Amino acid sequence: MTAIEQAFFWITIFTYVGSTLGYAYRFVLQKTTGRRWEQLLLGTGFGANLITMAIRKANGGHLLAGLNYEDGLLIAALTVLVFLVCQKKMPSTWPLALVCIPFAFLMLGFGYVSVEDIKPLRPAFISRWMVVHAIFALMGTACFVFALGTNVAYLLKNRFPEGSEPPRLAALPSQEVLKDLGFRLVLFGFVGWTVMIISGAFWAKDAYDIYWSWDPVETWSLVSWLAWGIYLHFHFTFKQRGKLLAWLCIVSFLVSVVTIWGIELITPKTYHNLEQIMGFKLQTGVKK
Amino acid sequence: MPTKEFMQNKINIIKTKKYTLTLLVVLIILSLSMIYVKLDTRRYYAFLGVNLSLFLLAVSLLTCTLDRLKAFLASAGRNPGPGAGNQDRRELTLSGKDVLDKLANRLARKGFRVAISGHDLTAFKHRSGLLGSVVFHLGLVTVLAGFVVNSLWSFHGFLLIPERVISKVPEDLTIQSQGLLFKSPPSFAVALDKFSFGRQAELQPLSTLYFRDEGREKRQSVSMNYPAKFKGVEFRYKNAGYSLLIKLTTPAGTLVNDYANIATHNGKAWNDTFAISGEQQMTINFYPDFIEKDKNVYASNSRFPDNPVMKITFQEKGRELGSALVAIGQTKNIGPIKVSFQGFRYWQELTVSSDPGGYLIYLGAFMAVAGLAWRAMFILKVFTCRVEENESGESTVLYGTRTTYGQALFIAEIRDIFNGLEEEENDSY
Repeated sequence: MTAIEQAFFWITIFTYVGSTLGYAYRFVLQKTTGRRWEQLLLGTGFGANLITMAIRKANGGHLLAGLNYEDGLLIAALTVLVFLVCQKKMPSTWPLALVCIPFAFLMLGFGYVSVEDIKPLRPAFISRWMVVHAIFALMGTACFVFALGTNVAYLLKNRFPEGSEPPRLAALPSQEVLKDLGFRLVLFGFVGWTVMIISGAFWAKDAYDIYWSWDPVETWSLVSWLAWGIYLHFHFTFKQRGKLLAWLCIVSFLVSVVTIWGIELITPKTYHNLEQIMGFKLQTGVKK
Repeated sequence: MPTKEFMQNKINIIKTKKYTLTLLVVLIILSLSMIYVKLDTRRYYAFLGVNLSLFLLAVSLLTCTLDRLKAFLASAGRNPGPGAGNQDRRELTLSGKDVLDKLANRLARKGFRVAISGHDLTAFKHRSGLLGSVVFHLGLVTVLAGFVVNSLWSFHGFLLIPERVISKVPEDLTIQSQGLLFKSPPSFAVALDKFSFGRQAELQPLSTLYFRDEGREKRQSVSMNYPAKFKGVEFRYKNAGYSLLIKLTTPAGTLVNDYANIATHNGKAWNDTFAISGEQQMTINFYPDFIEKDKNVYASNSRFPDNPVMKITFQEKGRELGSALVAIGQTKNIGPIKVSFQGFRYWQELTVSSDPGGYLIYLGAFMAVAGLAWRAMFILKVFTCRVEENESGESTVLYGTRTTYGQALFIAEIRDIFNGLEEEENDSY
């Protein structure tokens, strides 16, 4: 990590943490007026996040993928971007910052503890599908994180009749809006993960001559995708709304967590661990 | 002969959610059990239970999809009707006709199809959003169809090809698996024109294949993730190594004057053992970029042939007869045997296969993504209202809103429209 990259990285972390504290202060003390310095901090942090990514890309020469640190930068930026877009369209969703921004700086921290020097992309990563796969995977994940936040907020508010909840919960959007927003985020996240799975299959075909080989990551991403698909069918086909759907969102997210982080902990032998997939590791003993 | 009721009953079962969910659960269990027993992927797809489950799933998806398409086409052009939805009322300081006209105008600007009949107004948009679901499911069925085509008509094998040697397809091909209806790969010649490990991008192997078929010639490069394709056959990088040109001579004559493929890499060196004559063997350790780390401890700095040296050891019945380090271009004597290391070339092992169902898989994938995005972006919205004008000239609007999802957001959108009407009326005063 170069000095300038490190500087912007820490600016990102501190501004995200500061922004979270600001939103928490606003939520706890129910402040609805006054200067929105937490939004300013968040915007600054997002800008610093983008600059850090740009510096890394310029030094590395390739898209930010392949290392936990690079993935952390990208997913943090996408999560904050999703929050900023939602807040612009529906200002009442600001309390969801208390889920999204901590997730963003935790991802940055997780990546930082495993930061490695810039390396050229391994041969298996040099693919036209890599950009599509990585971006849609992380965008989908960001949408699911936000959907989780809205559904948790909905469950918290749903314990009380509409209009009689405690003041802190009253600051959240209405239950109807939280339901709608949560569902829409899951739908967009599902589109993202569909593209992720399809592009991953095409990438695998190019690299290993097989679209689907039931690799643990592949299998669990399909299981997660089906879990989200069941959520969508519960809404569209079974006309379910409310608490059941909210809990289903939480369960589906936990399944997705296994896919994103759990598999690598259980078994290193997956396509996502490209140490296993060096370009020309000899496997056969062929004699002339 | 099955009756019409019997067939309709069976179709109804296939359309049920219980049937589809059951199939999905069966597939998940089969997949997890396959991981548990570490079954080879190709044997997994050959397993009858998996193919049957996938086929039945595709039938279910197709039936549900066509059912929805049929319902959609039957109601095409007709007003979707209010249906169950949110009902509300709003008081406006506008005459009834003004309300209807201005509402219609604003809704039309937002893309709604509006119809006014007396005191009633109906508006809807994005009815075609429902088609997105149909296209998505059809896309999944198309992908499954592509897999079926591959399982019946494709083949998978490998080809070992040294540099500057012409190989013939299918004669030199080793086929590992093939579909039930697969006959034979097409005939053509292929040669490895050039190979290198590639110093950029951390050892990305690069090779150029030369294809020839009845006067038609073509050169294509192959690297990881970028296969070559000729006459429907795909060539992918699998493995590569060195072939050393070695000459062994004795007073009695020449023992060996040929290329030896060094195929094994033990993490430290490339090595292989070859039979010479009788019970004599030679073991070759090859160091493309030779360094001596310690006394009698040798290694290679890298895989690139910057300083190629081989260590050759002769054995007979497990007993070492002699060994020597021989650099490229050198000749050394080991006992009665004169060893010359004259040069090297590369060999490459390629995965060879066909993908006749690929077009269907790509088409199905595109349909699935397009249908899903379409469904997500184009939400059916229905707005109906009746305007009642009272004696003072003001109006009461009784309205209903319905949408497939995002009801709260649609209600907010309609309220914004009403607010806009009131602001416009206030501004005109």
